[in-house]
Amino acid sequence: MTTQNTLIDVAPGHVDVIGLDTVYRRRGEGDPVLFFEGQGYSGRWIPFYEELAATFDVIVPDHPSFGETELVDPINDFNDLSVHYAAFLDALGVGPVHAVGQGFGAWVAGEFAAIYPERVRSLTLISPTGTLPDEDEKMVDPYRLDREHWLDAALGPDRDQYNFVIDSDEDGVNRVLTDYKERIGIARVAWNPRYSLRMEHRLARVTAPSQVLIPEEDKLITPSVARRYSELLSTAAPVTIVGASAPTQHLLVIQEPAQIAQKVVELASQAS
Amino acid sequence: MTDIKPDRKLLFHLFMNGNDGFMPHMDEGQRTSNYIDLPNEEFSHPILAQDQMRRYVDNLALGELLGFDSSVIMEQRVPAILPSSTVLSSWVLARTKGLRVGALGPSSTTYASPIKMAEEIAMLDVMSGGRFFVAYPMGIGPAFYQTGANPTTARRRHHEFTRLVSRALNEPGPFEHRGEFFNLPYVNLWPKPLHKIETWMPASGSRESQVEAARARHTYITFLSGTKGVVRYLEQFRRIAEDEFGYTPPPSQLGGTVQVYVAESDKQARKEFEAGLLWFYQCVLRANFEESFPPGATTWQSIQGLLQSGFVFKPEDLTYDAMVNEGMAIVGSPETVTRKLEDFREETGVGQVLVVADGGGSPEWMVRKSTELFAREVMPHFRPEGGRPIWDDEGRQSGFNTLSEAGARWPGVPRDMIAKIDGKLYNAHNYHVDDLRVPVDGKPPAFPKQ
Repeated sequence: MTTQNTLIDVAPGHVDVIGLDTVYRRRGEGDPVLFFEGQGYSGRWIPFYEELAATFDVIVPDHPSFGETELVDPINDFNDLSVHYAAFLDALGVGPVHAVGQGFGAWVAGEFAAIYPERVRSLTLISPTGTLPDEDEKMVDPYRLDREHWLDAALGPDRDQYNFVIDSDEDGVNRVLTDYKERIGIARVAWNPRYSLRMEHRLARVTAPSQVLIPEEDKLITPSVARRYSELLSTAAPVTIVGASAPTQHLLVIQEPAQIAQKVVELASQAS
Repeated sequence: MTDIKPDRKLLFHLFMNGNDGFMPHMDEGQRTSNYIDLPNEEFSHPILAQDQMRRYVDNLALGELLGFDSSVIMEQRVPAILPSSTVLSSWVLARTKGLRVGALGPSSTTYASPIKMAEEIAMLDVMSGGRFFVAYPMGIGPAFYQTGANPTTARRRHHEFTRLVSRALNEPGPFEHRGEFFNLPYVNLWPKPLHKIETWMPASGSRESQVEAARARHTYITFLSGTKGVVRYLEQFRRIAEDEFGYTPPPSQLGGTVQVYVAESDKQARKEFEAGLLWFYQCVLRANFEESFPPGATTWQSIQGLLQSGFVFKPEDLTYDAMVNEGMAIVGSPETVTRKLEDFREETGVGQVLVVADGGGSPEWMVRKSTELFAREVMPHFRPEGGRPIWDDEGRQSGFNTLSEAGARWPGVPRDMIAKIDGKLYNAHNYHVDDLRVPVDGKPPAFPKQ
């Protein structure tokens, strides 16, 4: 299990996915969980993964342009990303998974599940982005936020206690470079539009049990986005994860790893 | 690329930033920049915009009387009011007779099809009698927020786009284009341009732009750099041209951009120019890293090189003295400006200089005063005896000014105009002349050649 304020070092694996050297981390035993990471914590084994690994075989690939996985020209939209992850599972010889995603990763998970519903045993979306927000909600432009403002918004006033997860041991220049690289990966598929009208049509294909988990305060994603996911997935309303010591924020996987892992376990128990 | 005779030491291109709006100073409020989302209701009243545009095109059209080798038209969105360099160019071309005019800015990111851009370039060249040229910038970072173009694919698309525009302008049509972003079965430009369009590649040191400019033999123009930066970027460009493409670029393929202000004395020049220059850097160019470098517009490798070299772009912190000392601005009496330009030419090896003449916040009379002093007392030092601009020295190379000239050079037409009337074919061109109304019997006669 996680040691206080220290990350477990899980060695990265490499697998060739249609010619792309894809880096991933994997640990635990049980049914496979495929985690689609969000922005800000790629290339490391965060406490949430370790919580999941107590029950599951947890597989965390770095998206193209995240961590050590490079971005290649043939990946231009969410369809390409979905094909990439189907091929990734094929390359590892992994069958249907419990798909879990956070933030941008939740959007990827939703698109993947809509195209390959047979490969998804359950679907957990955490503070997701990707659906069309209500017209009267102003979307935050995440690309314009510098690192400090983005972290303020993503973790709230107590962000410093999560430095051991977020900052790793990178210096200032390397942190900027890491952020820039991750944002290239996101912008490649989600610069314009910053929502998916395709999912309005496709998500109905998902029949596996699903849930949408949201923080008490999300300063990056407006509330209607998660609500819309729930409607499109015909599942219950988004579940608010309440913080043990402070209100949860956008990066609630970092703030409340045990609570969220428990939710994933509970949903998985409903899967066929 | 323009061929320059040895006794013409520099080509001078008149350029204006056109940023003279009344945007807030960066020290006011929480705004990270004045790009992108400065409210138009508050800061771009149509009457103000009309006056700004009038001033902009008036000053650039004056390039003809002043004797610049060309006037170069900017394309810039918020906080400027210059969103189309081709529209602005058409205005300046229509108001001049001999001046060459370049559009620095029709940006691939704002066009759905390369054909549309090629058509606009060809039209401007034909309508102006062969006086038009073009520069293909990728566009500054904030523009991606404004136009919605995807910065992570923009460079790939830009290269395919501009190569196709060049082919469309220069190769016989129709031909087919099969690319990643465009598949056009019938590239067939009407009209074709009157002359081979010179193309520039303006850039701020990105390797990708240098490679593309070297490959296509575009004129490489550096932007937003002091003398040291220009020297470094041009050296990189030369090395790429030599190592990867097997040639040494001549001075005519190398250009630099310099902010210039001339007054009666060095002291007077500073007095007139300092505040406007500082305003430009503090109010216009200031933007945070994320706005200046939207993800992927500059490759990760280039950003890595930039940051690891200690680059900190904080234009609002630049002082007047630093800008002058680093060669970002050449300011002073005619003698001082002449000497510094000569030094700049020798240090960098450029053959072309883009003279930024409006300095940002300077009032119109200062711009007029400075450009006239520059034209009368600085430019002649870099020119052959007589001081003529290149377009006046060489004369018009293509097109015509008068119908008698057109008649003398009439190329003939490929076919007669045929109309079928009462079951017979006639030459529609002279059908209305009784004596010439003769059926052509299905075999179109050749139009008499001159």
